[in-house]
Amino acid sequence: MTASPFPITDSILLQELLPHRAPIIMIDTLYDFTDTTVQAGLTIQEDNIFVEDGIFLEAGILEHMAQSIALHTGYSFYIQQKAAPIGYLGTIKSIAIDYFPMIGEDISTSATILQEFMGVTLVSVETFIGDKRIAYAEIKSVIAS
Amino acid sequence: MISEKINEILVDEFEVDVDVIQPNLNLKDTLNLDSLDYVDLVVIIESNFGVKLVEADFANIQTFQDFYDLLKHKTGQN
Repeated sequence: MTASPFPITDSILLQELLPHRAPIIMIDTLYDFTDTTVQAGLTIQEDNIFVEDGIFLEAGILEHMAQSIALHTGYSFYIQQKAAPIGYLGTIKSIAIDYFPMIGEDISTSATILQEFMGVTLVSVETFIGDKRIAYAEIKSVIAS
Repeated sequence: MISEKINEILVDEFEVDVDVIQPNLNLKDTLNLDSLDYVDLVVIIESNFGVKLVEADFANIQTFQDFYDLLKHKTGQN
């Protein structure tokens, strides 16, 4: 029986899985991955560029959500021993943010692929602090060909 | 009729007037569909009719009538 590789917290490996670079990397943990889902996390640090007055801003939450989707793509390519491709956020179909995390809080995001068609992926994304959902979005992403 | 149900769905999803949907008109041009819209179209068709559309299904779709015929074939409805 093979041991689970999760959670992955190695920042160097995570950087390999994402096309983003510091200080824009908004994921510090890969908790889980399946063909259609991914769960990623971030602890909000004081020096995070999206923190203002101790609060993790909307742009940071969105970036964390988008990177969770990118992480799914990156990890799926990684296990096939291929380099992570560049992807683009196509549209945000719907979004609701009920709470803005504060410094020191841990957020986790679950992304589920709802549909893939003609190179466009529709993903449902939920962000939590503990068991409390703080944000939800449906995002379309496109992988650069 | 399935065409009426399809029209209702398209009007609601793509926010067009029902009068602009005519069987002989081009589906993509009339609804101003881009590549990001097609995934929505696939999702709403699957949720309303229980059939999954794939890329190849759209290869011969030009008009709304083509689209009605495709879904009639896939669902077995008239």
